[in-house]
Amino acid sequence: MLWQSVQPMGRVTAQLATGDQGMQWSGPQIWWWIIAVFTVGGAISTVTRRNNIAAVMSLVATFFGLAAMYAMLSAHFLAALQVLVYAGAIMTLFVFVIMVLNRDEAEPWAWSGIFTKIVGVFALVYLVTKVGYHLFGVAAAHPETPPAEFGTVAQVGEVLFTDYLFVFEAVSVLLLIAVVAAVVVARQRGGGGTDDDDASADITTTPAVGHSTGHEDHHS
Amino acid sequence: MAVSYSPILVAILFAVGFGLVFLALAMFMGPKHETAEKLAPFECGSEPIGSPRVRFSVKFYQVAILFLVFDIETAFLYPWAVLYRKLSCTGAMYGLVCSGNVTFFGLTEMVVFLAILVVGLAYVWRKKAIGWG
Amino acid sequence: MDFDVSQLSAIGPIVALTVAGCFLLLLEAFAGGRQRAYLMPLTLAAVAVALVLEAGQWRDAQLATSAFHGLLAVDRFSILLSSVFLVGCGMTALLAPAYMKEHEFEFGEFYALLIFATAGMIILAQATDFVTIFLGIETMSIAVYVLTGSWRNSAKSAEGAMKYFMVGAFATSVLLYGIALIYGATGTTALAEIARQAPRVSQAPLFIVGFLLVIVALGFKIAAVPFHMWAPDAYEGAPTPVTAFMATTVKAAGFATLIRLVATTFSRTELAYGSSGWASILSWLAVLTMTLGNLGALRQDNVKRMLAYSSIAHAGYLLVGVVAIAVVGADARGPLIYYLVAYTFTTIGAFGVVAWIGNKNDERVMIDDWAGLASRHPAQALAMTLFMLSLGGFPPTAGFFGKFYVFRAALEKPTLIWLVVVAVLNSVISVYYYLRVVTAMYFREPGRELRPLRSNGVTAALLIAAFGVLAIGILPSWLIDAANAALFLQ
Repeated sequence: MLWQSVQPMGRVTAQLATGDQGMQWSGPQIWWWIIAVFTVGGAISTVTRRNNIAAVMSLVATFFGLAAMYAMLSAHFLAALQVLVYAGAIMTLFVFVIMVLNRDEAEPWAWSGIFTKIVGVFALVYLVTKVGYHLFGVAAAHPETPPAEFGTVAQVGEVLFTDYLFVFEAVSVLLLIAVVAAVVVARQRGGGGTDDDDASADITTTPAVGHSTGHEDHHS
Repeated sequence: MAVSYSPILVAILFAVGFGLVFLALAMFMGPKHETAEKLAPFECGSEPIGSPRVRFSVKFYQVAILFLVFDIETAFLYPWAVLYRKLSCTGAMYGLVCSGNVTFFGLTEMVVFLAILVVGLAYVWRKKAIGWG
Repeated sequence: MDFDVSQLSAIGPIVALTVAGCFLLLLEAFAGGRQRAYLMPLTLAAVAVALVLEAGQWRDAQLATSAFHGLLAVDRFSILLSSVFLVGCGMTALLAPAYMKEHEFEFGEFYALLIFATAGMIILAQATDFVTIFLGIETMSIAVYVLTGSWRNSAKSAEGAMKYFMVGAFATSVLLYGIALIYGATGTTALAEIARQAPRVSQAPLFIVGFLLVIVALGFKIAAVPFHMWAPDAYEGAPTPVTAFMATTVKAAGFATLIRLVATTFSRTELAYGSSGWASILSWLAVLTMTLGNLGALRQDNVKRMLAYSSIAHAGYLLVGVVAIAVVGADARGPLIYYLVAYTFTTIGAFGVVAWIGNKNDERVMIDDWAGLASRHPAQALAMTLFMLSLGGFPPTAGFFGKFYVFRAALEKPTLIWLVVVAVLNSVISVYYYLRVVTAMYFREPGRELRPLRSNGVTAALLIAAFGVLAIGILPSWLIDAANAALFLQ
């Protein structure tokens, strides 16, 4: 397939490797480090914030960093999608989920489960060092620059609509399942009714409150 | 890099710059008459009572996930639109001119894709999942 | 662009199911509830059409073919497995209407989701590219997450679905990471091309980490210990017909992918053996899965939960068969397929009886509820006895020959004797909790009055399951011959 000939991941790694040896940092390398620090910083901030909304905003920053990283890897279409779909739509969803769940911002720190957490941290550290050890051993390959049109909308589309035609069509079934899932899961619990109105009810009101009057409560 | 991202960088700089400039202008030049009334919390003319962390309706979530699904669908339409002529042509393209036969391949694949999603749209429509009633 | 229309026959069953699913969805949306009675028969019709198309493929599949630029294959392995999924889907549909009506959570989307999940499994069975594997797993899983949590009045159902979804999403991300690393090492996602490059990259750390992550992710999907923690809660919480579907077809779909990967893509000896080779890893997983599954089942007084642990233990026996593929080679595939078919019929039957026995607000899943069942409902008690004997591996049931063929295949090489010994010991242990149900039904005084489901669908499903267990148990040769003929696209 079209992408086999080029491995841009190797290109950046190769540039970094030569940069380290010669101590001559080119523009892309400086950018790479700025973006990398920004992305990883955003990710660390995401998992350490106690405020859920702050965590989500950190995640937005991480997604923008990832988009910039994709752009550096010549994956231009992917970079655009990352901003549109992830930083746009999926983050909106995250915010809504946080508001629907409405958990307290600060959970009290407790001793319970501390053993599991310690074991988990050790397992994670082991895994990260092990995987990292293996991955740093990977030799940089394919330092050539990709062709000019690599990663553009036209080229990604051409692969998607010809070689991966089946996948493209089958994804629509996956999206359809997601649509049905959203309707089925968000349907009112507790009611035994099978009428159409079921789908328009929501779980935030007590069962005694009707659907039509239920919503005013949330906007006050 | 084949595609230059410097315009985006300039746009980001402008956006941040504008924001900071106007904040600074408001801070240094804006009139300040702080009265008790002005500092009171305000929402739609009604007194805010209780925690601001009210539980939101699950409908927000539902609308958001439906938006997400159709947003991803749009993401597929975009490259298809760029490539439509090429997909409909059996031979090589010279600019916008097709050297081979013109087929319905490009049209058909998107019609199939959209047909399945239109089923989803019809379904949520009838299930009143996109209304707020 | 040119398009070869003839390759559409490769996805005939998938297209049939997709069209049927869309039709059922529209019917549910537009007919406003009046159509509910027709949804189940329509589902069965769709399954029948897909089965006919599979049968047509079987005739043409002397030579395995590849379609859609190598994304999908049609070979006898995929056809057999797809037929198993379709039969499982049909039997689940038979069990569902009466169960949903009794427990008051009827919803028409159930059948559409069931059909879409089955389509995802068929994609998985035919997938010869990591992209299609990923797509199939997601199509199947997302539909099944929703089905698990679809029991609206049950908090357990929501809890089980939540656990299943979280663990499943985590497993998917592990799978994706593994695929990405393999792509990084080989520059391709096509299984055939990866197999071709295997000699070059088999020592590359990127590749080894990648393929281990893929195997871990599949371990989650087949609920192998230690990746099984979601399974008991999800199986117990889900509506029982869905549990039957999850415990059989979803597990079989995971095994379909695992078998295809280890038998073709990762079949090279340097990948199979060694400290991080999949054969040694999978044999340890098999031991853990069998043993912990059995120990879990021993402690249960809840029949539904006992069957959940039992299905974990059976994943362990199946893993013995997968390891046998590494050591013995191609001859070990037939027994595995036979085992999957036997296990599917038996387990759907057992969960079918569990679905049958309960009534509203009272699932009657504790073993005390089953006391004296034989005196009141002798037919169902007999069916349950048959399923328990098959799960325990007694002749002349299907379960016996499944274990027999798999263990015999593993015994071809002395290196696997220890594994077979562990498996046989585990089978002996499992007899205790299977026969416990049987003795409760036959040798204990009846307790509270039962008010089981009255439904032709449930009766039909139990009859099909019992017939299947006996038919392939008494006459195992035709199925094992067909399974042995189930060659892969290489």
